[in-house]
Amino acid sequence: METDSTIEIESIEGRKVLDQYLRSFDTAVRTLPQSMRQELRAEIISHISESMALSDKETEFDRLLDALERLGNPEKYMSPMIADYQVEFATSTFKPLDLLRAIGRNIGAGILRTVVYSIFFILYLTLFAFVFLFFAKIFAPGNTGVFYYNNEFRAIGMLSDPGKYTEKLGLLWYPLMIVSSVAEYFLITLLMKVTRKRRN
Amino acid sequence: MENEFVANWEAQVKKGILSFIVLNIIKQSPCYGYELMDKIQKLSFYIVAEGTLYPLLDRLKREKLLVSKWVHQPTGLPRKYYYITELGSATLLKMNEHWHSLACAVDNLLAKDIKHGN
Repeated sequence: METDSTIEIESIEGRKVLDQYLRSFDTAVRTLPQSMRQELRAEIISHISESMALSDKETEFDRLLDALERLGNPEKYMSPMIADYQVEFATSTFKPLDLLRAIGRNIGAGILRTVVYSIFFILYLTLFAFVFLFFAKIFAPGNTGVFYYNNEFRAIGMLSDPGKYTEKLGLLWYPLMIVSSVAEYFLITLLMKVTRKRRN
Repeated sequence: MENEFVANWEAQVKKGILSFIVLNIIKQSPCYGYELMDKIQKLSFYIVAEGTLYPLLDRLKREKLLVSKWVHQPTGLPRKYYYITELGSATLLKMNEHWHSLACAVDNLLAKDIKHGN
């Protein structure tokens, strides 16, 4: 693997432009593993070099500008790859923060991704609702649970004033919330995996 | 409005078959990124941002359809060449079959259209 490729640019302003472009490239790929970043960077530099060598522009500076313009904005063209990588990473590590980061990265990376991952975000919020309700039962046991009135189901969750409703689940509420949050977490992860596979 | 619709449709079709085109070009002979982009553009596949090719190549590599290798040059920077794998060739064979049957069906449809004088 080649990791230390550089292009020899004679003009100072040309070097500045290239450095700026490569900095924005580094920023765009900062969440990828180092080996992947280096490999991609070397490939992009190789592309710029080939593009400049075959350019019909007169000056070195114009050839560089032309090559960079044709390559495009790294933040834009690398975006789908970064978003894919984060989903792949999050669904393999099973860490909630990675999952949230992957969702955030995909929202805004195209219309379809934004719609799909906004749904994942809502699912993710409901997952936190289960966690919240677990703790709510500790601090407000009478207001949290499954509520009945005259043996008829009326509400599940947290009520500010249960009034004449009776909470029926008692301590079983805790395992219910744990199982629900774990099940939802695995469901989100599985759906994200399936979505990524289908897109490929 | 009509032209815009056609332009969008054309962009969608090209985007949809870009990986198919890439695999076919690399199957014919291994290529490095810039060379591949040049060959794609010679097929009238104008790529708005050339950088978009690299995430695609990375995806095809992760799908194990391609492999890559850096090759040093006597002059200039090393080039990263892409080669098709056995899985890539087998996948491409299926893709080509699908393409031929689809092209055939569309050609037949268009031929009928011409017969009816439209």
